Amino acid sequence: MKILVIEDDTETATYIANGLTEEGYVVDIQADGKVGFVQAMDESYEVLIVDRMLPNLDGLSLVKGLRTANVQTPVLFLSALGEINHRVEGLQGGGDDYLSKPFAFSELKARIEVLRRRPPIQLIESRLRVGDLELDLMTRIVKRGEILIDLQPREFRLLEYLMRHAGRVVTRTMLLEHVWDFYFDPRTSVVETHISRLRTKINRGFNQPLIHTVRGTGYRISADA
Amino acid sequence: MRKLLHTASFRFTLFTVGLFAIFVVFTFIVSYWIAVRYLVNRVDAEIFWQIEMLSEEYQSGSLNSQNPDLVEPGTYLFLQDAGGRVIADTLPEDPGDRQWLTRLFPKSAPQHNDAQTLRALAVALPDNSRLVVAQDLHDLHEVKDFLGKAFGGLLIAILVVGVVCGVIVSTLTLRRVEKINMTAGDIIKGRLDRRMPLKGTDDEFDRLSHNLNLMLDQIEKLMTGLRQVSTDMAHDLRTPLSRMRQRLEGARRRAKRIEDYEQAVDQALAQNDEILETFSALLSIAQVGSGVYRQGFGAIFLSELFETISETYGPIAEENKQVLCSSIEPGLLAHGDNKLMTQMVVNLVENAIRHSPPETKIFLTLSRTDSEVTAIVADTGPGVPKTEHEKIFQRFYRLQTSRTTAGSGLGLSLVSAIADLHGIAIRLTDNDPGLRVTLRFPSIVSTSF
Repeated sequence: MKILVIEDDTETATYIANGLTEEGYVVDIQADGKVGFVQAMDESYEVLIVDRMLPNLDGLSLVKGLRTANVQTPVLFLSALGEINHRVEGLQGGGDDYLSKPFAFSELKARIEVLRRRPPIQLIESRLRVGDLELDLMTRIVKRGEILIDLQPREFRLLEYLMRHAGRVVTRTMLLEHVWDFYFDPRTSVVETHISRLRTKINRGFNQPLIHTVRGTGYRISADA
Repeated sequence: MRKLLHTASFRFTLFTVGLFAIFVVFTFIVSYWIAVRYLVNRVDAEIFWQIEMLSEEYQSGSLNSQNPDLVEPGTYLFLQDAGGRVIADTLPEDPGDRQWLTRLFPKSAPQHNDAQTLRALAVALPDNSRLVVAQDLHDLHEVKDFLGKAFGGLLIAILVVGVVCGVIVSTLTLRRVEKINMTAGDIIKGRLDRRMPLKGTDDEFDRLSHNLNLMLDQIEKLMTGLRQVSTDMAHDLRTPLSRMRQRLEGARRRAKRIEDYEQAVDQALAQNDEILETFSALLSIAQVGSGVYRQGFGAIFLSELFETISETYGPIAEENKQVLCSSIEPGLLAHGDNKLMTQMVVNLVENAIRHSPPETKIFLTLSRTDSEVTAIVADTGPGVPKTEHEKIFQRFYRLQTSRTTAGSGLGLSLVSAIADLHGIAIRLTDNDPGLRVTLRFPSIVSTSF
């Protein structure tokens, strides 16, 4: 459970480290790009949190270097350069996720959870299963028990994303980015409305809820409450 | 005067005059050469003719020294028989054995100068006697003299006229440029209302001044806009900041329980987020305006984009007890940035949803007529008064009626910036009732699948 934070702003770094330590992670902080690069080569870290602007070696070059050296540790970019093109640049440069400053700690935590336990997605069967809910990626059929659930394409993508990260919290922003391709904050309750519709469809005729709201953070799908 | 010499027009005149002078000198050299060649040839022909005639006369015995009429004025003669006896001699010098000579001088000449040069030809006659005929080169010298004087005069005239013209043109130019410079100086000092003087002659200076004035109008508008935006920004950010401060201060003074503090912190966080959102919206607008996104332009599946938005916002309208009706022609494409285009349409649709009461119908249309693709976002809500149509795209502008709804007043500014970036023309019209926003896409490649 080791995480390396490469960030030159001491306040942000300490804020992240404190938060993650409370969550049970072991956190190392490095403020210098070059030293951070060497430290990251170690590969004992589960996740790297890398700022875009660093002294001596910028974050993007750092990650590119790591990828060239075949270090595959998941990287979460953290940056004040939040604009869409910067994000694309970061992801193309080898980052696995991108979070722009300022960010909520819950958002960071959720994204790290998703990154660190990301198993190489190899679906032996093309099916995702949570409890008695089953989603077939090939036939695009969703069933709960024996009951077929009819979903709109967007609802299907929403459920798919939740189920791929079953048991973990996904935030509103993560859903907007991955399900809707929205890289901005809509002024209406897009996520809430669609989650509530999806819930209704899934729960119809069943007592056990599958999609749980995590207060102040996001949503989680799991068979247990 | 120094200033004058430094003007571009003076230098240009000087340059032109110089070129012209070189041309004149060249013409002079060529015509001089041609004239001399021609005259020398004529003299030579004359000499040949004389020699022919004289040798005939000599052989027939009619030629002797007592016969001076034999030669015309300007022609000189020297004849010596085989025995060395001189028969006729009007030539000042013995030309010797040489055949062609040009620098002989007649006896009568008081001093030897070029004007009296002779050209002579010596030939040996069949009986071994020698005949020399010489011709005065007076004509040649006259022509040479004339050409020299004519061209010299011309050259001087050209130089004088050229320099005078240069001075006049430069003075006039300088005067007008000085006026423009003075105005520019005033503007630099902060008098943004000053404009370049116009003469009303529609010459190049007037056109230049006119364009400069248009530019100045634009700058003044931008400056005013900037000032306005800075003021609005300060105001719009100060309000939530001072509210946050009040809350925090209130909590500090009154809160007794942990829950009170928690509540205060949560509220402060929410207000803080609101401020940050305003900042990122401003940043987005600036970024879109700077055109950096153009690098990432590609094909956009417009119809699918609209379908996604319609599918996403149908339920949200429904939640608000409104209806979203969409009519989307399939297979339409556009060129641009997919994410920005999404944000633009979403902003318009959300605007319609948020500022309309229940029972409102919202229409989302994408269609093609000929080569033109048009999108319409319309609603049957309260609409926007015609006088405000222009203003609602301004930053921080909010209708009086919507001051109370949450929002930064930047959504439509972003829409406008994104549309500008993509060359999309936005038009606001009355939907009777409600507002209708029409987006006309620039002509694009479109295919039907």
